[in-house]
Amino acid sequence: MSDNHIDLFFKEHLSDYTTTQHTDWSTLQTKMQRKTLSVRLRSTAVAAVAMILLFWGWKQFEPTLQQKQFGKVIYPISNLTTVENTKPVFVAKTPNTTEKNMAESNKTNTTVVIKRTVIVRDTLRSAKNK
Amino acid sequence: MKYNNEQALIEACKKKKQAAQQQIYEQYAPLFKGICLRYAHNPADAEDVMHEGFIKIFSVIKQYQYKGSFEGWLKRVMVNHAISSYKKNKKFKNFYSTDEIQLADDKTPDTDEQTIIEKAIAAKWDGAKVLEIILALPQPYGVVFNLFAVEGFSHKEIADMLEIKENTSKSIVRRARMKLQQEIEKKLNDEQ
Repeated sequence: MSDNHIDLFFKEHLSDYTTTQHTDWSTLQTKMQRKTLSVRLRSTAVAAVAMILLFWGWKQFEPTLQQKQFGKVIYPISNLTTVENTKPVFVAKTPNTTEKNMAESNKTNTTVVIKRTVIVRDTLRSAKNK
Repeated sequence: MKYNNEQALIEACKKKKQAAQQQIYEQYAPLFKGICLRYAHNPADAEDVMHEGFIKIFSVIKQYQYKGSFEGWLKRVMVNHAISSYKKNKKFKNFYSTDEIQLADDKTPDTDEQTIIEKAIAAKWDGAKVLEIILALPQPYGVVFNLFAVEGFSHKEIADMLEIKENTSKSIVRRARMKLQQEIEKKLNDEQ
């Protein structure tokens, strides 16, 4: 602690200095309520923006019409066995065992791709034509 | 509802009981307004700083662990808040950017320090009058002088708080004393 005369003089007079010139509790209470409200509004606004972004993001990744075809059996699998070396034919999102086996067994006649849950086979057009 | 026991008051305040918050406000607002007046630009700003300080206190009161006096803890939170509000003022950064600070009329007072202070004590000024003298200083001088002489922070602590050099703090306090001495002398002469 400083022992300078000026420092001591001011410390003595000001360290416990009080003044009654302050607003009453209700003013602070109103400020606190306003602050709580603004915090709530801000979090609501943030949530709304997040929802909008989520919706926008979902719209960005929403499947196109072409993508929507993905996973659909656009030609009965039973007909594929007779079809050979043609254009893509069958896109199965979740091939079942029969489809997988069929794809495997037809390797010699068709191009079969099994990639995760997708099977692409070259056959549709010719199958349709037949 | 009135809390007669300090611990009960603190615990109720930790639970955000309005009656407890009101009691703390009414008990400490006179002291804290006095503190904020020393760090703000004007009484209206001081009122705002004090209110914000109380909101801060109510939001961090859970951290109070009964180590040291409650009043001391409250004071520290309020002073820290007042300083951070003061630091938001852009002018303050420009002021402290020079290492050696000069007062416009930086001259040694005619009478020696001890004699002046003895006269001031004899004049029996109240806190408000003494506060007026400090408020007559350029604000950065008042702030650093307050932190050092009234709050009792070291130059190192002040330097950390205000993000200035330790020597800058020392230099400001030295010059603030000189200026305060001149102001006291002037006030004493005016009263004669």
